[in-house]
Amino acid sequence: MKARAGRVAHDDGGALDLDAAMDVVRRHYVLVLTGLLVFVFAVSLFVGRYAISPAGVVSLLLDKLGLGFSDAEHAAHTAFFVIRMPRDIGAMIVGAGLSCAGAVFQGVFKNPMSSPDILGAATGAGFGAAFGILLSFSVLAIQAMSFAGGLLAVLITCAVARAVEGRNASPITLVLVGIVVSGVFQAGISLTKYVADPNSTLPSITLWLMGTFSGLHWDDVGQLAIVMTTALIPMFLYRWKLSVLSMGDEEARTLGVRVVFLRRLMIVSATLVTSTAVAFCGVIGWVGLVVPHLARSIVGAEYSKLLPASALLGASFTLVVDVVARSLLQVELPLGILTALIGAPFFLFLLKHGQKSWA
Amino acid sequence: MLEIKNLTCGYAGKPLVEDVSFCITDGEVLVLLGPNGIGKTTLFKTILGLVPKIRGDVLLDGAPLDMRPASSDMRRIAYVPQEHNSAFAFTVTEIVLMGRTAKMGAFATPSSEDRYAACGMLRTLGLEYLQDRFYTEISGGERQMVLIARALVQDPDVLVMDEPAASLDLGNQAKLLRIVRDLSRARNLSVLMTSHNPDHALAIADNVLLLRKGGSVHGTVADILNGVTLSEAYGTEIEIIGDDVRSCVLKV
Repeated sequence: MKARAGRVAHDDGGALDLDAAMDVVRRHYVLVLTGLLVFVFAVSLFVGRYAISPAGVVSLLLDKLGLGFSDAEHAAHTAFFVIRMPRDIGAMIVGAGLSCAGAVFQGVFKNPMSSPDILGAATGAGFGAAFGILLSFSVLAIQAMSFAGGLLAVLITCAVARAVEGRNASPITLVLVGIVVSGVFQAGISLTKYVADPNSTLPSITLWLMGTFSGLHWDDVGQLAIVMTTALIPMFLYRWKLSVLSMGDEEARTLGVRVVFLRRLMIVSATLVTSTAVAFCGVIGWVGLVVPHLARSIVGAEYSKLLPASALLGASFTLVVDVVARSLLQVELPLGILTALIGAPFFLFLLKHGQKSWA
Repeated sequence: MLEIKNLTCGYAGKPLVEDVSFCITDGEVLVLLGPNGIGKTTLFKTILGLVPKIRGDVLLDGAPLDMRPASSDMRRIAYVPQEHNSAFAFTVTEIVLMGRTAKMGAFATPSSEDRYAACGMLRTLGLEYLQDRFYTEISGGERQMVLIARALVQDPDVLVMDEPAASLDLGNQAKLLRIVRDLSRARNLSVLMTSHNPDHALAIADNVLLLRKGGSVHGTVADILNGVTLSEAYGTEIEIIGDDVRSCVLKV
């Protein structure tokens, strides 16, 4: 594209090659980003606490298909199929979901700084989980409470916005009320941590609030896949109308978009994504904010390209972060720390080199 | 033809503009003038279905206008907002394609036919050099023209424009007014346009609607626009000078 070429031209000669390469990426973005994801996934399979060589991975896979010789040790089999595989797939699903939800919310609220938890979903879900852990509930009950907490927070946000401004509350009111509701639930989380037993429940709560994929099993992955797919379908169906909606409510309406309906549908979908993610993996920040911007810098702002690019990039990004989290140090690092450490400088880089149009 | 009969509009049931009647025939340019806060914006937002009307009728070709969002009637009325910047860097072509949304299926993305129409419209308006540029990186005058292109690919019968020349320099104002007048003639479009500058009405309007305290007046430019009506409406002394090309002057 001319505009981009012009911007990079004043850099050194190497930048032109980079620009040509970016042009190829832009044109075949689905292929390139899928390739990237496959590569990251393949690498992730043999990185972790229990190192498995590439040859080992192949023999394990052949074994599973009933084609190989069963000389693989049982521990390797467990590490690979019971622990690593579901964890990696879960991480990809959550990353893809959060990134799409973030991209959608940025458009729905016409605000590039929006993330999927802007209406309080993540804080509400975090509070639900923390409260469940405090009462020593079962894992399933904690997940249910977390999910319910996320939905409750967004419902409160919408109800308060409605009370303040009437039936069709404007996006800015929703966002402001969301900040208030998040603040209240944050206080709830602090209170829960304050009264929690510092020897048993407090560490679990803290860990949950920083996010981890370490507990994911095949059952969880199945449920995650079902809920996330359900929530992503409306986003992908309305991809073009989302582009139009990001121009503003009045314009979108005069262009033939049912604004109120579409915004409600997107809030429900994104809330479903965020609450589900927190329920299964804890609070994972930054992904939904950073990845859509990265995707936009590659494929542009239009949602029929932005959503697939966000999903693919989000899956890769989250998987990379998880691989780092489980292999960088002897102890496993909580994801929230890494997404912030990787996401924040990355976001600043995009701010400097990306679109100039951010309000 | 768009016909407004005894329309009263305002927010939350409080009338701001009361009992306005006028009509815009095909190929006519109507300029809506009036001081700040008198309800120009409210009036045209009501016609666009963005603000619910309080009383009165809006008729399109004699039949009441179906103001529900995305109705087939609303597709015939295109809106050109005041030039603005978008939060996201869409390309100019993508912005123009948004004008085809009403013609697309619920879950559709632009077809090759839509792309053809968008490129054709950019060519017609002499904007093809912009098509791959980012909307966020072109000038204000260019953005206003792109928004007009977007409204025109909707293939409307009525064009509603909010202060289209407000943020443009004199050269671009003239260019824009010329294009609006020519489009209206060539495509038999009814144009309703708000303006802060009576000169715009003097330049291209067929008829004028002047909103002022104590009722609005509607009629031809010659009948409505003179020193007395303008001075009264804006609350300051205004005089119209010139014979062939007329212009208004402020006396400060």
